[in-house]
Amino acid sequence: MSKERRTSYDGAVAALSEITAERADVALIELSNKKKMGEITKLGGLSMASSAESAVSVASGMAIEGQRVFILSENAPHFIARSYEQIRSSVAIPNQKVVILSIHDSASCDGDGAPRQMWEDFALMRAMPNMRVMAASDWTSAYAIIMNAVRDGHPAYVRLSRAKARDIYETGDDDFHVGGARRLTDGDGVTILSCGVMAGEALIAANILSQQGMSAEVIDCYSIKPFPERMLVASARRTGCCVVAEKHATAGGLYGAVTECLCRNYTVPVRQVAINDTFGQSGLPEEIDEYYGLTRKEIVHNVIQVWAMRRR
Amino acid sequence: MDECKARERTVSDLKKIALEVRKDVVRMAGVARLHCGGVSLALVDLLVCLYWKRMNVSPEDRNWAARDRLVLNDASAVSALYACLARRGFFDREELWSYRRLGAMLQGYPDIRTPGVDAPGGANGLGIACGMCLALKAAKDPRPDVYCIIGQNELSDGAAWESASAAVSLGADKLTLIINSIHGGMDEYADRFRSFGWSVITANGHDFESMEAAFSASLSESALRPAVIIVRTEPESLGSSEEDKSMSQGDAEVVISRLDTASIGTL
Repeated sequence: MSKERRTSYDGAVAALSEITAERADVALIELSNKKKMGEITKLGGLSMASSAESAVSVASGMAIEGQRVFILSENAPHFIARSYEQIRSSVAIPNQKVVILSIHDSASCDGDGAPRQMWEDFALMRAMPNMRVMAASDWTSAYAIIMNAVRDGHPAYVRLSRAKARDIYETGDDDFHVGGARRLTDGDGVTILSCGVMAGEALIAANILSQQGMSAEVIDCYSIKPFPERMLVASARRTGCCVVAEKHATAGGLYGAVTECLCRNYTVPVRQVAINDTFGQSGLPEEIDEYYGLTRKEIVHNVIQVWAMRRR
Repeated sequence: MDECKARERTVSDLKKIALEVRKDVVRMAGVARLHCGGVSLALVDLLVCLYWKRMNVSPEDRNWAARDRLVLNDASAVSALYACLARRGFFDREELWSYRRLGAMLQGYPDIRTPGVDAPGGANGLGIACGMCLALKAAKDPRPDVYCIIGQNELSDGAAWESASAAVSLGADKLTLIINSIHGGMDEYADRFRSFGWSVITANGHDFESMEAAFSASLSESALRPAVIIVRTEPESLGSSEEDKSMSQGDAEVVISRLDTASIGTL
C-alpha cells in the first residue's frame, strides 16, 4: 500500500486523461476557475465560465449525439443546486450518459462559508431517479470509479475530494462496480459504514477500537445509490449495530440510505457521524471537521454508544 | 445622516481613507493567510467613494429604513467591504482579524447578520435581481439609492440579463449597478444594457472625481431609469507574484510598507 498522500481528485484526473487519450467519444466540460483546474483544460475540456444550467444542457446535447460526457465542477452547490432542473429534465429523465464530478467534499471549501459548503448533495442526487451516486475515498477508488463510469450507461454523480489522504486501496485495484461496497476490515462488534474521505477516518477509528478490544467491520460504501443492501444487512446481522460516517447532512445521504435499508430488512440501532441539520460557516477545513464532529474521535464515541444498545 | 460631513470631504481625504482601508485589507489577508485579493484591493477606492462620499448610511442606527443600500455580489471583494464597514464604524475593527475564522462574524461570503451588510452576496448572476428588489421595495419617501456591485464575469450568467430587463420594466430607477471591469472589453455589454433601456456611464475606479461625476450623472438620470456604471479598475500590482500565494503576516507588513511608500506624494 502506498504511503504517499494524494487526492481522489488527482485519481479522477489521471483516469480522465487516460480515457480522453484512448477514446474519441468522451467529452469533458469544466465549470471552474481555470487556474485551479488547468489539468482539465489541458485535456481538451470545454470550459464554460459560470453557467451551470447551460453546461448541463450542452452535456445532454452531446450525450444525445453519442458522447459520454463528464462535467467537472469546482463547486457542488453552485453546480448541482443551480442546475437541478436541467439535470433532472435533460439528463436523468432521458437517462443520458452524463457524469457529474464534484471535486470538493463540501466541508473543505477554503473558508468561503455556508453558501459554498453544500452538504446536501447526496440527498439531492439520491432522490433523482436513474441517477447513480458515488463517492471516492482515495486515488485508486476515484480512478476506478471514473473508469467504470465510462462503461456504465447511466447518469452519475461522483463526489471527489481535494484533501490529501492516505491510500486505502492498492494501486490497480479496480473492483468498484456500481452498487457495490468494500469491506476494509473484518469484525463482529460493530459495522462502520462510511464513504469518501471519512473511510480513512473510519479505518483509524477501527484501529483505536481494536486497541480497546472491539473489532469493527469497516465498509467503504463508495456506491451510495444503488445501495449495497445485501452487504449491509449481512454485516448488521453479524454485528447488531451500525455507525454511519459521512461528510454530509444527516438528512438523505448515506445515513438516510442506511436507515432506509435497515428499517426495511433488519433493524439494528444506528448512530450517525454527520452534520446535524445546520448550515456551515467559514473556517479551516480541519476546524470545520472538528466543529461539526466529522472526526475519528466522534466515530469511536458513537460506536461505544451504539454498541451498548446493539441487537443481540 | 452626516451628509454635511460627506460634502466637505475632499479627494485628498478620500485618498487617505482608501490607503488605510487598503492596509487593512492586506492585514486581513495576512492574518487569514489568504492570497492577497486583487479584486478586493481594486475595489477599495470605489467602496470608499460610496461609503464616505456618496451613500447616506448611519452606523449608529444600522436598521435606519431610509439608508442607502449596497449589494456586493462579487464575493471576492468582501474583505474590502468589511474593512470599509469597520472603518465607517459599523463594527469593531478588531473583528477584521478573525475574518474567515471558525466562529467569526466576518464570513467568506457577505452575510446579512454582519452589521452594515444589506444583502447576502455571491450567487453568480443574481446580484442585479437582489439590488432591483431593494430599489423597488425599500422605504418610500425618501426612496433610498441602491448600489449593486458585480464582477464582469457575472454577466456571462443568463440570470443577470433577466434581471437587467426586469429592472427597467419594473421601474427600479433608484438602482445603480456598478460593474467592476478589470479585463476591459465591456463595449458589447454596454450596448446590451443600453438596448435594455439602462443609462450607461463609465468611470475610472481609481479616480475619485471621475467616480463622483459618474454617480451624479447616474442620479440625475435615475429619475427615469436604472443606471449602470462600468468602473475600470486595475488589479492592484503588489510588485511581484505575491498575489497568487497565500500571505503570512510578515508578507502583509512588507506589502503595507510598499503601499505607504507608493502613497508618498500622492496624498
